[in-house]
Amino acid sequence: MADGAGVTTFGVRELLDELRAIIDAAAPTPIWVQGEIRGLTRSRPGHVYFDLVEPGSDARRPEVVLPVALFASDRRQVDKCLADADAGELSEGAHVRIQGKIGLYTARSQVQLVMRSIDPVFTLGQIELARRALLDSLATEGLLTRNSSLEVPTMVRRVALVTSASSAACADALHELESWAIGWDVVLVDTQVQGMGAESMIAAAIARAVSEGVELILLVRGGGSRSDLAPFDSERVARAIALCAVPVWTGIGHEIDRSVADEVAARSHKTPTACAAAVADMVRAQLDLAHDLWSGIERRCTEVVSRGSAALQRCAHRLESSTGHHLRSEQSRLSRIASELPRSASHRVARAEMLHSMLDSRIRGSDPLTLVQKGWSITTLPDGAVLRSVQDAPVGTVLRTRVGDGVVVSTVEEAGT
Amino acid sequence: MTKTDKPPKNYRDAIDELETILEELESDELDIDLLSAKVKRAALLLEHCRTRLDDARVEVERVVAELRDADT
Repeated sequence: MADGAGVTTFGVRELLDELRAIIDAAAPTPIWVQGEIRGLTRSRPGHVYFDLVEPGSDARRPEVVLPVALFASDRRQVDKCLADADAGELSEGAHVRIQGKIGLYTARSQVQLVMRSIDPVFTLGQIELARRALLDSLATEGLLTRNSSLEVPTMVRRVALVTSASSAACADALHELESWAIGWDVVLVDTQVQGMGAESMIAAAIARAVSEGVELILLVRGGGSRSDLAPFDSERVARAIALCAVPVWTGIGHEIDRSVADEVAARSHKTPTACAAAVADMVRAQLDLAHDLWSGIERRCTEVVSRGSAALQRCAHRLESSTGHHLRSEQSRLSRIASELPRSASHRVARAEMLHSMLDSRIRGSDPLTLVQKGWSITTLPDGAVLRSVQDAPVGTVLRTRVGDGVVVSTVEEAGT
Repeated sequence: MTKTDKPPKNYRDAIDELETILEELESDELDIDLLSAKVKRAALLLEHCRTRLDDARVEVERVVAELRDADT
């Protein structure tokens, strides 16, 4: 409507209809646009609303924002498209390429893109690119092998299970751990494992597990789409694992792809059950090893005891033999002494008797009377002394001469030498 | 207690003393006055040694039997 001066004044609806017409004319057909999803919300009727921003924008104050609306009627097609490509679903932070019609949301005078479809290949590619960039960065910092360089105690007694406590993955892992009946202490650390904020929560849960004094952390979740598993490709979780002071084993349920978390973890497994089973296998192997070692020790001890027993038997035999020999030897020695003793004593007496006899003979042989009997005589002076010299018998001396059968008395008439 | 009655310190001493007495008996140096005393001493020593030897035999047989029982 134009006034008298030719100046047009629009009514609100009229102006917005005009703007819409301009926009429609400028972008008459659906266009493709790429960006990062922020502020994703879902309405009760099934509509989805989010902002598309430049990738890497400040999360709280992006410089440029394109509001996007995906109505329920188109959403089913978009969800199917993503599901068929195993690209998950629309999620916060996802880098997407979407197609839609630019229009004007007149209720708010807001330009918005009414989304019709999505390029799932682009989304997957972006995830992969981000994943590779992160892996390169971690490799440069030496973080890919840091956690795997930690020593895993072979006899783990305290294990942390970091996962969503209400998930089937948690139940599976717990069941596997408990089924082995190994007396370990399982610390369940509950965390959200997908969606908004999951990255921070998982990282915090790992730190909490460390503070619980566990020896090993099992980070598990069940299978899901690529976007469901996006937190496990995040830098936040990757660094939390890489810098963790405790070995982290992952059991993230995706049969084909490996997440960044898998790459930085000390060990990765394809399922939560496999992850728990691996711990049990390790401990079981140690128990078997201990059993084998003990069997070896027992066998060796038996051998040593047997050899010792045989040696003792030989010793006992030698003891019996040598002792018997010694006793017999002493017995014969005693017998010899016992038999020699009386003989020696008798001999000693006999020798003494013989000596006595010899002495007696000699004594008797020396008796003057015996000599007189043999023809010798003994002449004595009047005083009884034996005449030994002519000097002792001057003329006139009366001598008494003893002969074998009597005494002859004589007087000295002459003496000379 | 005279030297004749004095018990030997041990088997070895008893045997040595017996051998000495035998040597003395076999030589002419032993005084006849000491002969009977030496023979009595020798008899005591012999009895002592026999007793000790019998005791040792019994003890050895007992120990060896225990060893055999332990092996079986």
